[in-house]
This record gives sequence, structure tokens and C-alpha cells, in this order.
Amino acid sequence: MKLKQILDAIQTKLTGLPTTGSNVYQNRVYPVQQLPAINVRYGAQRMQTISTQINNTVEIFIDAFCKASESELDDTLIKIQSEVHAALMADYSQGLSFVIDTTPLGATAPEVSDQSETPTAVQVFTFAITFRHSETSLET
Amino acid sequence: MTLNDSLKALSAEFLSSDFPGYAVGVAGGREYSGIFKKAYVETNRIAGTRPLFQIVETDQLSEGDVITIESRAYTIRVIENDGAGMALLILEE
Repeated sequence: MKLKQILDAIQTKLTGLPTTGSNVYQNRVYPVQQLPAINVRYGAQRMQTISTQINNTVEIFIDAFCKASESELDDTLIKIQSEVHAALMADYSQGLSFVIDTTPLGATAPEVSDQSETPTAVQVFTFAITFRHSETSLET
Repeated sequence: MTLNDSLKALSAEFLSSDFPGYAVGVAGGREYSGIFKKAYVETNRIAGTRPLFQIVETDQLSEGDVITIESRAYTIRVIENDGAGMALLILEE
């Protein structure tokens, strides 16, 4: 499954970054407990048919989670964003032969909360990854 | 004795050591008896806890003070006086 391969490749690339270490997940449902952390998930896809092939551009969302004192929240999120950007833009193919391009699309404003024992924040970084598959199958 | 003093005295009666969650906090060398709660919360899809300490209203504590409860130090972020002699301290680890 090409889309799954992309998600796995991104998870691998983001594992071991200085700020988030091994706290890298593919999780849409459950709350994270080990922080700071990164979560990888995908969003909408746009397909463009070119002859017998399709260029499929999928939104990849990188959720950055952190828990820190109020004065350290922004610093932590900025570090995570910098490390994620460098890791994903180092190779536009993400090491996969069928990936054509990787483009950063931006980031949401940080959402901060004081409802926990330590302030928490989440920010979402969005990338567009374009990959190619056949007109008849998402897998070839 | 003022009405407020009476309310404080009445509130203190409820803070007995056999009450669930009873704890003693220490701040600035003083002891404060209260009810300590640390319930699970989820914010921004992050799991955590919400430490709260309910005590008799006092003017000895201020926001920003550090209070130690069950061997852990917390910073008092918000003091919510209920107007009936009790205060809820919202804590940060």
C-alpha cells in the first residue's frame, strides 16, 4: 500500500529527532502520554490523471504535542517544527521511488491549554506529498 | 466574630483527616489542611492530570506561591475564593 508506505517512511524519518526522540506515532484517536511527541496522519487527496497514471497529492499532517511551562511552550514547538521541516525536506522523495514531490504547506497557530498539571500545546504542520500510481490501482 | 470568620470556621470543620482526598500542604513554613484532587484530564489530545487543592480561604497564599503536597511541589496558578469560606487552588507541577 503506497500511502501506508509513505506514512511509515515519514514516521521513520521523524523518529530520533533531538526534541521528540522516539515519541513518534500514527494515531488518530487516543491521547498521547509521552511528551514531547509527534503524530503522523493523512488528510485529503487530490488526483490528477495523466495518460494511464495518476498523480495523487495527499495532505500529511504532523501534530506536534508538548507539555512545558508557559515560557517554554513556544520554544519547544519552534524547535519541533524546525526539526520536522529539515527531516522531511532533506529528500523530497522520502526515500520512495514512487514519490514525486514533497511540499510544505504551513502550520496552524499553536493551541494552548492550562487545563492540565502543566500547560500543553499542539500545533499541526502540513505537507503535501505527491506520488504516482496507475489509473486502475492505488498500489501499482 | 464576623460572618466570614464563621463561614471559615464552619468550612474547617469539614476538613477532617478521614475525608477522602484529605492532605496537608506546606507553603512558606505554614501547613494548610485541604482536599487534594488530581483527576485525569485530556486536553489537546494530551493525557494529563488536573491538580486542585481545596482549603479554607486564607490571605496567606498568593498566586505564584509554591505549595508542597504529598512530597511534590506545585505552583499556585489561580486562587478561586467561593465567598463562603473556602478557596480552590488550581495548581501547576
